[in-house]
Amino acid sequence: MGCDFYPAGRGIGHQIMIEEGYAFPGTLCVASDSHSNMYGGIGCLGTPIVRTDAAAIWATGRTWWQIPPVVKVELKGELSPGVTGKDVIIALSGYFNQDEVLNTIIEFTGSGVKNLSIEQRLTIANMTTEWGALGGVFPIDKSAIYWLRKRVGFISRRGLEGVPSDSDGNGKHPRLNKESIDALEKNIKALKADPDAYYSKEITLSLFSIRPYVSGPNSVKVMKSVTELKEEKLKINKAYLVSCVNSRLEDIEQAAKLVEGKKVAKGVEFYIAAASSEVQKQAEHKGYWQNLLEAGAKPLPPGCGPCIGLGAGLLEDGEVGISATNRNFKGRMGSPNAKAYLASPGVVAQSAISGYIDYGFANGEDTIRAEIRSNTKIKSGKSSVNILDGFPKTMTGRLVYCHQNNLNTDGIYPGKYTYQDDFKPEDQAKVVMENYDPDFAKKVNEGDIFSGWL
Amino acid sequence: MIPTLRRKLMKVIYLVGGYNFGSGSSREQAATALKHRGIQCVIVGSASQTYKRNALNNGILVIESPGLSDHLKEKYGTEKLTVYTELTAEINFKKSELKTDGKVFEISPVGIAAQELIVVGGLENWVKQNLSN
Repeated sequence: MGCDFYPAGRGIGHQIMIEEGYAFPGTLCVASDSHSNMYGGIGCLGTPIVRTDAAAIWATGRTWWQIPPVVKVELKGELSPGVTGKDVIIALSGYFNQDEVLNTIIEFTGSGVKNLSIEQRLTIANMTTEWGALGGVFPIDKSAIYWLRKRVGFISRRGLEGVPSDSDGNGKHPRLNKESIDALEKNIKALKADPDAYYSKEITLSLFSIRPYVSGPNSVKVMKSVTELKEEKLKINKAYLVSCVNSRLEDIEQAAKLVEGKKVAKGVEFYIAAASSEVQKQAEHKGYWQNLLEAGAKPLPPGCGPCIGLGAGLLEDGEVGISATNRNFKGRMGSPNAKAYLASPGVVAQSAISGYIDYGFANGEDTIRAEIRSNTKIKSGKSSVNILDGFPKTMTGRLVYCHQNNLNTDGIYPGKYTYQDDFKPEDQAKVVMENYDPDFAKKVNEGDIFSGWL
Repeated sequence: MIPTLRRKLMKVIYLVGGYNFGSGSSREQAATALKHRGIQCVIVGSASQTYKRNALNNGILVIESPGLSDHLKEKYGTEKLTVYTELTAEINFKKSELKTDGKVFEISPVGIAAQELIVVGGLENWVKQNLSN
């Protein structure tokens, strides 16, 4: 079978993965991009892989993955009007900003989940990446099934996209069809966390306590409520409603309603791009797209762009940008001498109109109500590992100890050698740990020969 | 001598590190350089996920054993950057434990997928083998 290919202009890869059902609920789905976490919004465990792994999967159909520690995030209550999923994930990243969820998988649960639309869940799951997690999965609940059925209906009216995998579906969409969703609905009835499931950490968050926030500049570990920030009248040069995290219909609707009948402030450029050609069509059909254009927004094609520093409209030296994207690393959206803030589509749109970071919201109390608890694993008794032929059952070696915590890759292998293509294995051996301990390579290997059993 | 065991003159060095070992960039040389220096296995309190993956895909074992890491810190302190200890350690992969210094420490289990990669020497060989099958 060939590769399913969607040409430029069809949309952002992650959005197509959702729209065309590749990221199917209840499955594990990998992609060679860090925002693969987004698939968790529809109950599919999405996680990033590197390109070498991707190539190996294409070649063999197999891969390996070690299950990371799981963190439970319980959402309670519901969001106030004007507050979005984006604010939830900005709040989680900014409030729990001590690597609490680094290298874990997040399981979102709680009575608040049902109050979040699938689009909001996709936004939250998408940015669990910035929070530090390898995935963030929402339950496959009634809303998810309803969303999928709607999508099946849309696809049956639209027809197939003409990709090789269509042939798997006997005329129907190979992944999103009535039978596949019926089967999913039946299967998920039994899908619940075990009562004694172990979570390395448990976090609870009151959705009521979430306010519209702005994250940054240049880090997701810092945030401020917009109500606080708008007092500073922080002037912006560019505003962006683009990218896989926040350019779906609901996002465009939120922005469009705010700009309707108004004009983008003088000196501000407001860039918009839909997550996919279908999203753009729907936004046009509803009149949202025109609202934005009439206000003076500049349209970009559906796809990745300024969010990863590509194409038109990048941030220049000394500029300030407010963006409904997911990453505000220094220099990512253009010049390293620019400042990038992240916010919801509503905050971005209002700021584009006002010319400074702004949003109308009756603030009330502004305290995030969230808690975290770390759990210790109770040993479940010894388990025995099967040993493959050719792999030693036991192995004896000499211990060399380097005490440093957080010994990073520059300590182990200096960056300056990384792109010296003529570096041979023996050269690597000479410089290993050079930045940590210049004597390491010299000493290790001297007189370490001894007898062992294999 | 037990006849069923092959006796080999060999050098096995375990590098024992602290916590969050190998964070930072995804450069694979941070794993391969240790292998080229003769370190077959890295045992740490915890490791960056990317580092672990790079290492295993290059045929190097990264094992987590917070107990061992803590023990060595207590025993050798933090004054010397590298301590060439007199300790030998025996890892029992079936039981997921490591014996050294008269103690037994738990290690993260090395599953079948990891073993496969180690046996063939990394992902590239593994792909070649699986393609030819």
